[in-house]
Amino acid sequence: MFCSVQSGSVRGIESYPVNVETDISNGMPCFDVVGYVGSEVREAKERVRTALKNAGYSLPVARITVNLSPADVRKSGTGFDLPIALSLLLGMQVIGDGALDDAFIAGELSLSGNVCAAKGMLPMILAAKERGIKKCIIPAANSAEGSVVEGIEVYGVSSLAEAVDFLNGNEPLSPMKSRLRHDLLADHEYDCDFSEIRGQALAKRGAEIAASGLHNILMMGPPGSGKTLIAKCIPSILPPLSEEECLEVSAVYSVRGALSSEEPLITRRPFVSAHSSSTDISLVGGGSIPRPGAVSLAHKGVLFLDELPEFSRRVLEALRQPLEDRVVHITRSRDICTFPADIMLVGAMNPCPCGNYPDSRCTCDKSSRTRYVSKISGPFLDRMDICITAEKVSPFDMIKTGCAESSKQIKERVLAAHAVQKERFRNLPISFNSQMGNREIEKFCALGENELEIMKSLAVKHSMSARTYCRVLKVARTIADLAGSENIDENAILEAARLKVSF
Amino acid sequence: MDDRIYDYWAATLQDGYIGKLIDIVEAAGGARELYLMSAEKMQSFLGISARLAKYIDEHRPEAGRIEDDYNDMAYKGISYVNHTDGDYPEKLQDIASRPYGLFIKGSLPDPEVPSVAIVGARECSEYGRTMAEYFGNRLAAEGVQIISGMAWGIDGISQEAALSAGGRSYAVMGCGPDIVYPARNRVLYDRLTENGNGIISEYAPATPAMARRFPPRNRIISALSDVLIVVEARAKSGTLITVDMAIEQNRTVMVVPGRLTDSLSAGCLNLLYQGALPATGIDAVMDALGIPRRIPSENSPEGTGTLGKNDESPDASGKKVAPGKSDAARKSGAKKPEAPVIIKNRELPGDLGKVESVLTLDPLSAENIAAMAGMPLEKVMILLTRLELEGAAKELWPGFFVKKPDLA
Repeated sequence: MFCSVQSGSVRGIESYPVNVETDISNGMPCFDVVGYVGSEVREAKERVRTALKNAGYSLPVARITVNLSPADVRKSGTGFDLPIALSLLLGMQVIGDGALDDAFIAGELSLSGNVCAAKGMLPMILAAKERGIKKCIIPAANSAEGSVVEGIEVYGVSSLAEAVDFLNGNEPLSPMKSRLRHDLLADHEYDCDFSEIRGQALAKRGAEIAASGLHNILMMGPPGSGKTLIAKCIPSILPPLSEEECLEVSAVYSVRGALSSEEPLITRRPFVSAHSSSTDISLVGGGSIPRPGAVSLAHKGVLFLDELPEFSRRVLEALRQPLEDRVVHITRSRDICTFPADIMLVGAMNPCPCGNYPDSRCTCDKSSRTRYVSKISGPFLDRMDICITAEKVSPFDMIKTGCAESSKQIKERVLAAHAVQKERFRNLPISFNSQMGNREIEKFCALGENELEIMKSLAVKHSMSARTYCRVLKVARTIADLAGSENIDENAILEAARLKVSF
Repeated sequence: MDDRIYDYWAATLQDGYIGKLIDIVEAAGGARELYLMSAEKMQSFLGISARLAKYIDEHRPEAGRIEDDYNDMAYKGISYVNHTDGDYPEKLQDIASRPYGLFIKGSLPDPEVPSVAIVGARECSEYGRTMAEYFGNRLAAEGVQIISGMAWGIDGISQEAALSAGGRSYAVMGCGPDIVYPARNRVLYDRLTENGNGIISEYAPATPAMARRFPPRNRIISALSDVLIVVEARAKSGTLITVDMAIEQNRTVMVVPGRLTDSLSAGCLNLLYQGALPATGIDAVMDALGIPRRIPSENSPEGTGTLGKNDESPDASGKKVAPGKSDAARKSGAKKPEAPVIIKNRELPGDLGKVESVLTLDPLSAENIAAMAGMPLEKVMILLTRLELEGAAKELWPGFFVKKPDLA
């Protein structure tokens, strides 16, 4: 007796379909799982056998072969337990014929016969929907995550017995209601708001410009000057996630197993803070079975690297490619995984090892300062469009009350600048000023005669490299967008030049 | 040629602090004779200590090896000048413990041209940098040669400024002339090896920089100069060794005055109190050199010309007093000498001038500047870039600015 059910797994954040085929025939009694399976899938055999027994179904004394097709793709993950068990039950005719047609099944089994959560459910269900599948049977623990997808019935089961009862029509289950729209429209409070920050006018201005053009920003300042707080506030002035972005971001979290039933969907711009002891793999992703790193978890949001010079050079160098391509490619001998990594990078650093330079309290000498700053490689610094200095907040600023602008007010200006850019790049694959290449810069950052003259003298004065020159132009474009002017004026250039990395 | 190689060998012994090396070699009857002398004979015949004899004995490679080193040196473009040679600097001849020989990459200072040494702190302030640039640049423009140690800070800055003004500069190193120390001054080093400038050292090529090698080289810096200018020095600065040497060698010591509250100027103020001449500007230095200015100064008051180069010997009592202007000379002047004002007022329009007036030589943050000028930050950022373009301001460190004063 042969039967098959549809399941799937994820590679990177891409889901691929897998057919679970089961054959029960006469012969030497045995239970084999074949089809290029990883060790966790091979172990499914034992889990399924025991779970079935504990759920009250004993395997027939027959030759049982389970094949996961296509057989040339390596299968990994624990989501095959439930489909294997259900296809066996189908073969054993415990479940009626046709009950599993048009159904997508994934889930892990415990020995007791309970169904446990599996990783990567969201991208799997999204892919199933695209393949035209009508219903999904997934672990109850993942049902909130699955319910995000519209246009497909999602049923959460908590045990094998419940699944059988449901499929045989003995116990009706109602499909989960989609909550995508609802969640997305909810008012998203961020933990931090710019109104909480006193003083720091320069840092706020830098953050506003950076958010407007999605420029990477480097903040330099003594410890306790509020660099981290400013970074945390940046998502609050970025526009809300669109539906598409929200699903993209949530898919990454799903693969990491980071979606909970309380928060089945990432609706706020991610803010991911990576510690300086991070390895390159934890930052960009990797592992023998590639998993997304911090840079992908921060997709469409902010990746914050505090104490930038403390990061190992290798780690920062590993970030260069994702920053350039906005995706991470992880190559393994069999295949290449791609994770999204469209981030705004916010770096923070002390000006010197003691953190006080140029204050007179600084105890570092010139060489230790140079050594400290030069830990960040030039090519990495080249990716930072804006550099600002945060100062220690004076007590005078601390006790000043009220008056600080709220994130909401700043966000309005940022949104306006985004709208201008959207219009500008409508026929291009980019959406922000920071992403402009040479051709776009030439087209959209054309300067008047007077402005060109100023830009020239600035370039000579600061002996700018071609890269720096382009970065200043891009930031100037954003400043002009913020000011609502069509052309890059003199002031935009002068301010942009002020905001460039200058060490 | 053969003897030359033995002289070269004798010069490599300078690393061992042999003060009377020239006398020892003379007593031995020449460098070659010293080379061939046994350690025992050195003690008995030359009367030198066992330790010194051992040192010389240990630093006596095979003749072939010396010749190879000598040829290698020539190959590197380094020349050797023995103390008996005609081009050995005249100014070095009369100092105590003059070097046996010099290793030179580039040229030696022109003996006909006045020379000024500019020395000071490595970790200098912006004030120190400005003054080092000012004196280096203006003196070079007057045709004066700048001697210094190519160190980080004041030394390097003044030499850099001299070269930028199209003048000549010479660095005396505390390592072999082929070693770039500090390595950060590589560009300056390269410029100093060409166009008539020079890198000078009493240490043989490939001798690495070591702390003990620096104080002895200071005597060469001061000896090669007519006037020594100290720009910034802490109360216990290595620069003061150079000052001591200059006094011993009867050179004029001038000091750039600083503020009483600046620890970087403490050493300078001390020297001023002891009687060193205040370097109040280019005129004062030219007066000390005893030569008229080529470029007439714009606002030099009359009467400064009475201050001349002073060749008095050090105070008879042996007190450490700089041979500056004697009291008699100070009193004898009919007119009160008056230091010219070297700072010029930049007449900048409106807000630009307002922001400039807030700036000082101490770094101020953009936010502070905005608060002091009473203007919004964005505007100040723009004005600061403008000032930078005008050359009136400089970003010392991201977000921190200093004034670039306009000096006469």
